[in-house]
Amino acid sequence: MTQLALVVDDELCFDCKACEVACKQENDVPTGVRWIMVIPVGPKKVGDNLIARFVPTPCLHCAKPPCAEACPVDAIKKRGDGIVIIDEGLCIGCGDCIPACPFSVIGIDPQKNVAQKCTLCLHRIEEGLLPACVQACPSQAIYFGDINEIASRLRYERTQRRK
Amino acid sequence: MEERIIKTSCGQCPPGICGMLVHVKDGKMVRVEGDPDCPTTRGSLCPRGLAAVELVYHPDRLKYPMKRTGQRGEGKWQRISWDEAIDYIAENLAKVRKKYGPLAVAVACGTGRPEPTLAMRRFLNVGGTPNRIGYPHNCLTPRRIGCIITYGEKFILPDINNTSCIVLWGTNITHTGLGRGGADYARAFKRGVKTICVDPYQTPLASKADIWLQVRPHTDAAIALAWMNVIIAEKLYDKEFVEKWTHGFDQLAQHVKEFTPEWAEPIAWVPADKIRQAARMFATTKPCSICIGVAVQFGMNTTHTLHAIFSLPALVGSIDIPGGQVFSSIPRDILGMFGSEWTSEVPVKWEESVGAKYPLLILGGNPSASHMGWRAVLHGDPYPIRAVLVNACNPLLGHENAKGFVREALMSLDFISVMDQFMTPTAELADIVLPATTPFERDEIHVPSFSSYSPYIPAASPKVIEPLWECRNDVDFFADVCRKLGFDYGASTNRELLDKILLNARGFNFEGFTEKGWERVPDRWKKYETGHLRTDGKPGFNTPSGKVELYSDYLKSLGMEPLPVHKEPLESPYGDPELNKEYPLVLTTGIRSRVFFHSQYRQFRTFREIHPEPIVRLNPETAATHGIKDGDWVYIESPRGRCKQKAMLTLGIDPRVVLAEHDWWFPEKPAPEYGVWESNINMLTSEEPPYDPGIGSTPVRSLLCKVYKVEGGA
Repeated sequence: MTQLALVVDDELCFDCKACEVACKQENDVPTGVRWIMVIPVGPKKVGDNLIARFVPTPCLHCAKPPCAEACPVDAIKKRGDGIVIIDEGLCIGCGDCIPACPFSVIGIDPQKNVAQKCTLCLHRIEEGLLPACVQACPSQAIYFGDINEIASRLRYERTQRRK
Repeated sequence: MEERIIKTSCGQCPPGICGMLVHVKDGKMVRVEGDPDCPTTRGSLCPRGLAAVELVYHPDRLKYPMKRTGQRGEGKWQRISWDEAIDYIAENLAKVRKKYGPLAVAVACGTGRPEPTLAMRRFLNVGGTPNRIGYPHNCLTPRRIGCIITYGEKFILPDINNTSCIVLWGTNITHTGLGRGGADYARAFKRGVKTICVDPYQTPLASKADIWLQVRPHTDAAIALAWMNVIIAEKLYDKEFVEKWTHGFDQLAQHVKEFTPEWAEPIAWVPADKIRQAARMFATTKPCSICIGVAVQFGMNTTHTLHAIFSLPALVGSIDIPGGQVFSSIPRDILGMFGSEWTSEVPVKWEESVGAKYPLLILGGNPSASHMGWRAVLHGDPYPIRAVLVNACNPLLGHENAKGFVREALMSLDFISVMDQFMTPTAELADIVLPATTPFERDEIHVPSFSSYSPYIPAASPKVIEPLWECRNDVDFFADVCRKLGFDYGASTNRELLDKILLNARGFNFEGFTEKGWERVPDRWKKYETGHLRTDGKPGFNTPSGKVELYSDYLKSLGMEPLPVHKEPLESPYGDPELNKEYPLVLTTGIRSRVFFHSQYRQFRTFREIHPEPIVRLNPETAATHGIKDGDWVYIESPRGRCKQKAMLTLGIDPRVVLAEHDWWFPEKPAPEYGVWESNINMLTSEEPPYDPGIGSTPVRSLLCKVYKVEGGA
C-alpha cells in the first residue's frame, strides 16, 4: 500500500531552520502554529562524548492516525495515498486532535479557528513539485515519497557514509 | 496577469551566490524558491532567503526620506522629498569640508554588501577621504591579510566540494553562509568528508564532526602551533613541497619544537591527545583544507593566529590541488569587474586614513576600524571626523563599547545621515534618514564566496520588482550627493555604473550579463608551477621570497615576530588573575543566529517565533553555582557594563565559558531606543587598546565576565 510521507535523516540535519521558514512562507502558517519544527535532542554525555541530534518533525501521516480517531466530526481523513488531511470546512476547532497527536504537530489557527498541520504541500505535489521543506533543505535531509522506497534508499546512503 | 518567474540571486548577505527563483504577479513578489540550477545552493535556500517576501513587503520598512525636527535622538521626524534630503546632506557635508577639510567626512558601512560597498568607495575617493568606518579589523580583512602575508594572494580557499578532510575553524557555515560554503559542506558531509571542528561551543556542526576541539576563546594560535609541532616531529609534512615552495621551514621547525600538544593543553583547555589526533587526521587525509571563520580574528593576536593557521595546508602540501587550499581560478581581468577599477580611477591616500598606523590593515584594503573612526569623531584623534554617512550599518549594536563610546561619538557629530531598510536605534540618532531598497529592487553583481572555493564567476542579480515607495539604491544616492557637491562620480545611476563596469571588463552590458547565467571557468591547479600567480609570470608565489612564507620577513620589518606565536589575551584568567577574581568567567560573544543577520531582521514574525529572545549559553554546572535555571533572565557583566539575556543551559559550552549573542534590539519596543540598552552585548566590550599590533583587532570575543540572575525576571 502506498504511504506518502516525509522521512527525515536526522544525521544530516544541521538545525538551520530552513524547513521551518520554507513551510511558514509556503503555507502562510500563523504565528504560534508550526507544521514542522526542528527538535534538538541533547547534547547528552555518552561516555567521553557529547551527543546531539536535530530532528525536523512534521506530521508523520500515521498509518492509524490517532488525531482522526479523536476528531468528533470526522474532519480528519486518511487518503488512499496515505496523506492525513484536515478538512477545514468540517473542523469545528474543538482541539481534541491536539493532545491525541503523539508528536505535537497539530495547532489551531487562531484567526480561522481550525486545526492545522502539514499537508505534505498537497498543492505542490499535485503539480509534481516537492514539498517546500524538502526543496529548501540545504542538506537534503528530508525525503519525500513512499516510505518503503525511502527507507531502503536511506539505509543505503547511511552505510555509504559510514564506510 | 500571469505569474512570472524571474531568475536572480539572493544578495541579503555578503558575497556568495544563492540562486533564487522569484515568482512575480502584478508587479508583486509572491513567493521565492531556490534555483535548482544554481551551482552552489542547488535549489536550497536559507531562512533569510526564504523570507524575502516578508522582507520586501514588511510594513515597518522605511518608505520616505525624513528629517529630524526635535533634538538629536528625540525621535521626532518630518517627511521630506529626496531633493530636499540631498540638498540638505550636500550643504552639511560642504560645511564640514570647508571647516575641517575633506578627511572630516566619513562613511560607516556594515557587512559590505556588494552594492553599498562599491557605491561608497567611489564617493570617498572622489571626496578625498579614505575613511570608511567599519569592521575591517575583525571581519573579513584579517583573513585577507593573513593570506597575503603567507601566500601573497588575497584569498586561498578550501575546495570543500572535493576535499577529503576539512577543518572548520571558528566557523558555523551551515548556519551562516549557504552560498559561502554552507551548502558545499552539507553535501560534503553527506558523502562522508572527515571533519575537524575548532569551536568553544558545540554547534550542530561540531556535534557531527569527527573531532571537535573545544578551544578556549582566542587561543587558536596555540592549537595551530601544536599541530605544526606534531606534523613536523612526526614527519607528516610534505617534504617535497616544503623544500621547493616554502620559505623558513627550518626556522619554523626549530621554533615549534617547544610547542607540543602538552604545552597547548593548559592554554587552550583541549586535551593534548585530542590535539595530536586532530593534527594527524589533518596531515594524513589527502587532500585536506581549512575553512577559517571570523571567530579566530577577534583578539590581540589575530595576525599570528592567521599566519599560523594559513601555514598548515602548506606544510602538508595541500596547496592549489583539487580538494586542497585553492587560489581563485578566475582570471584577474574578470575579477576586475567587482568595480575596483571604477573606484580606483581616483587613487586613495591610505596614509591619510585614521588607521594609517596599522600597515597590515592598509594591506587588507580598508584601514578604518570602528574604534579608530569613532575616536576621531569623539576626540579628534588623529584628526576630527565631523560628518558620517551611515549606509547599511548599525554601529550602536555592532561596534565596541556601544553605549559609552559609539553613542557619545554619534551624538557629538555635526551631521549624520542613515540609509537603511528599517528604522534602527542608530538611525534614530541621525539628522536625515533615507529609505533603501532591498536587493530585489535593484540590479546587482554578486561575487563568489570568500570562504570557499568556487570556479563560478560573479553572477548577475537583476531586480525583480521596481523600488517600493520612495526607496532608492546606494549608488543612485551617492551619485546624487556627488553631483550636488561637484564631484565626478563617473556614473549617475546604478544601472549605468553596472553597464560601464561590465562593458569595460567583459564587453557586454548588464542585460547581456543576465542572459549569460552561471558561468564556470576551468579549474587551474598548481598555479604556482605555471606562473599564474605572480605578476611577472614566473613560477612561484607573489611574496617577497617567491615562496609560501612560513617565516615572514615582512612581519619582521614591521617589528613583529616573523614566526607565529601564541599571546595570552590580556583580559583572561591567566592574563589578569586579579580581575578574574571578580569576573570569574570567560565571555565569548557573537554566536550566529540561524535566522538573523547581525542586527537585521528582528522585525520578522517568522524569525522571532524561531528566535524570540537573546540567548546566553551556560553550562548547567555554572548555572547551578549562580542559582540560575534554564530560561531565567540573567545579567552578564564585564568591567565596562552589563546586559541581560535569557539563559540556555547546555553541556555544549565549557563551565568556565559563557557564550552571549550579539546585536540584540527590539523593534517592537518604544522608539527611539527600541530596547537597545537591554541586551546589547557591545555594552560589555571595549574600544580601548591594546589591539593586535598589525591589524588593530579588538578582543570582543575573549573577555571576562560574571553572571547573575535578574531579580524579579525581565
